[in-house]
Amino acid sequence: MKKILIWCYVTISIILFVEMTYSESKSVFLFHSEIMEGYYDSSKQEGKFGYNASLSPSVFYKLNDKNTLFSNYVVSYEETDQVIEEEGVRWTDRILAQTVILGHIYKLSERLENKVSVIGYLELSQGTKDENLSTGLYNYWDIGLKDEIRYRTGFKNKPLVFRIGYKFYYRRFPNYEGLYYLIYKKGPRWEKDYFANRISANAEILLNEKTYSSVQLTYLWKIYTDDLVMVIPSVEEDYPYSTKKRQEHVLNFELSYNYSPWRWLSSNVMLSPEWRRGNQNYYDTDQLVFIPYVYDYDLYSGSINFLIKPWEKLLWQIGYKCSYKRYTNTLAYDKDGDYTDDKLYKLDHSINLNVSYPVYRNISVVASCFWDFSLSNTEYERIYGYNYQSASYGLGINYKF
Amino acid sequence: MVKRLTILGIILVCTTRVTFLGAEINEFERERFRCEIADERHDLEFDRREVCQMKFWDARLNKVITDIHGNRVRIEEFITRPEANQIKFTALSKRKNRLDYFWFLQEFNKNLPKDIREIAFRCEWSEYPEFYPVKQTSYKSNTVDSLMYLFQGQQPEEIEIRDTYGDIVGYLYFLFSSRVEIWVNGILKRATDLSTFEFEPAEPEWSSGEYENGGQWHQEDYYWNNTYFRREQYIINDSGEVLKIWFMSIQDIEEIYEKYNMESIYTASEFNGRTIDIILVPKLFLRYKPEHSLFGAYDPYLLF
Repeated sequence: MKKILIWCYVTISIILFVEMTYSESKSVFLFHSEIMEGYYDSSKQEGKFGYNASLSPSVFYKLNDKNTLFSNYVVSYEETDQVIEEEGVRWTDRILAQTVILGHIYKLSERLENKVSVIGYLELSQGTKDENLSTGLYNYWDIGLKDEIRYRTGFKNKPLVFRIGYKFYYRRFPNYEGLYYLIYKKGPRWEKDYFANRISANAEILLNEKTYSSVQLTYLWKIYTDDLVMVIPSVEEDYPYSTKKRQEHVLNFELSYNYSPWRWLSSNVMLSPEWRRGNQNYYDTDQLVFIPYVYDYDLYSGSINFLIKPWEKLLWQIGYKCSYKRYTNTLAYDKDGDYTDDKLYKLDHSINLNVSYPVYRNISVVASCFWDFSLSNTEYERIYGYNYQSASYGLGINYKF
Repeated sequence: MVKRLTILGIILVCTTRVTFLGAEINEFERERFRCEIADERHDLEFDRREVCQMKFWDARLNKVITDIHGNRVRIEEFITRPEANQIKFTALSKRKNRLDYFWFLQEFNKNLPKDIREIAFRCEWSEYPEFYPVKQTSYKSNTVDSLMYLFQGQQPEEIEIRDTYGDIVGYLYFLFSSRVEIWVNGILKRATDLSTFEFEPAEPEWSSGEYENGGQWHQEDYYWNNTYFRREQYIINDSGEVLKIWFMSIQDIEEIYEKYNMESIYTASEFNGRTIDIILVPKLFLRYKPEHSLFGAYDPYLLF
């Protein structure tokens, strides 16, 4: 733990030292911190209290008209009891996460800009009482390099911005070793580690003073370093894997439309389908059933958000999101845990409400509420809750300049 | 050290704040920089979702649970086919500082077809089966110590099923063994000839019972060479909570096999204080239940 804190402070010090060195140039220091106390309630378990805190200093140095350097450091800590999240079960009681971003923005012309950044992320989590923050099973870190090109132009006299980005990163789970390997010294050892290539393309257009729209396409290609594709048990083969490496492809599409009819109201509608395809299979030893491409799904989600400023200081944000996730090969369970003929799906509705009110200079009081309703065609809920309702409420302080 | 660094950090942040108060950056640029940071956060969130997906699948595929001591246990189970007439089930239990594993090997009377769903892990049949195990081996280990059960000379035998009045209501073919051996760390502790009920090298003494709060059972065997072997069995849910149950009907067994896990802890004189601690998801052994089933599941004795 001490090592982590030391690492954290050394990083801040380096950032600030560089910052002071360039103090002759035009610089800006941005800071954001937040502390929230919250309560989580679910139809599946008793209500739990928790809190989270984050601190994020950022520095931008405008060296000249063409070059800007920037750095961002984020440290966040949260402590909660076992909860079910939208994307899955989380057992974690404590999470400490740190992000470091160092980047350079280069203006090639009035219209063309390039941004390159190095991104490091570390997440330490404790889930059970035999773990601590440094030994958590799901601890991971990643390091990546990202490049983004932006081009500002116009379409029928309307400002239009194109962005094309590529990110390469390596993600490592140092405490997650393949069990088959531990016994037999063959098969995948670091089965969660992977390299990722992410390509994104984005276009944003200002249609008029009140309206703007954007579209984004993201493609992620994951190549696992050790994990191998599982095979159906074949005759005279005492080995459950093939020689093929596991891979996954994710394609995400986001279409967003923003409209601000009045100065005190802005609205946003977003549609976002996502498709995941991979080559990993699963042999269900409970039922001796082979499920090909077990992780593949189609996800369709839509949301609507309103940002309301009823008077100068108070800020309301209210949103609704609906998502439908359907697995392409995984079958739903009946109440006894046996497979049905239907493909597993999950329908999720959520409503969020956030209120912010500045009490003194850059300090605001923030309150948030989140309600989630989840339905599925799986009735067997011994392992994972598919049908549930949950709510969370938070109150905290936000400091930003 | 940490306190000093904390103070240093606060001083540095404050110093920087003062240093840059006069920097000439207009509000438009400041907002643009905020958008840069927001873009980076959005990107990171997209990548972080991948880890949430991974945790979801670990939970759904029942790969991570909690044991009776509150420790996180990773479970992996595999089915393989070492030979044309064999099926091998391997279950691994990994905790922070230990690894325990179990394999169960079935050797059949003849070579098996590709689809083994109607064949594997059965001990009861309504009709005389075409495929049945002739030898089965159950092996448990903590990577240092081992425990092996060997079942030999197996074949299905017809038994009469009678109602409470003694009338025959049906027939069942049940898998019987002619010889059962128990080996602890490579030493034969007990071999039983089930046709004559003779023991080699000698009959052990034993005691067994349930713990006071139910759902927990233990047995101690005392052998010819003044050694002992002890096994404890717990029926637990995924959170490691022990099921409190005092009497098990066939329906109870079915429910247990469907909804709970079995944690078995073994120790013996030869283990020098160490244990073998294995968690199994027993649903696999609840796949076949012919009419008049005696157990409602695969013979638990073979496994546990």
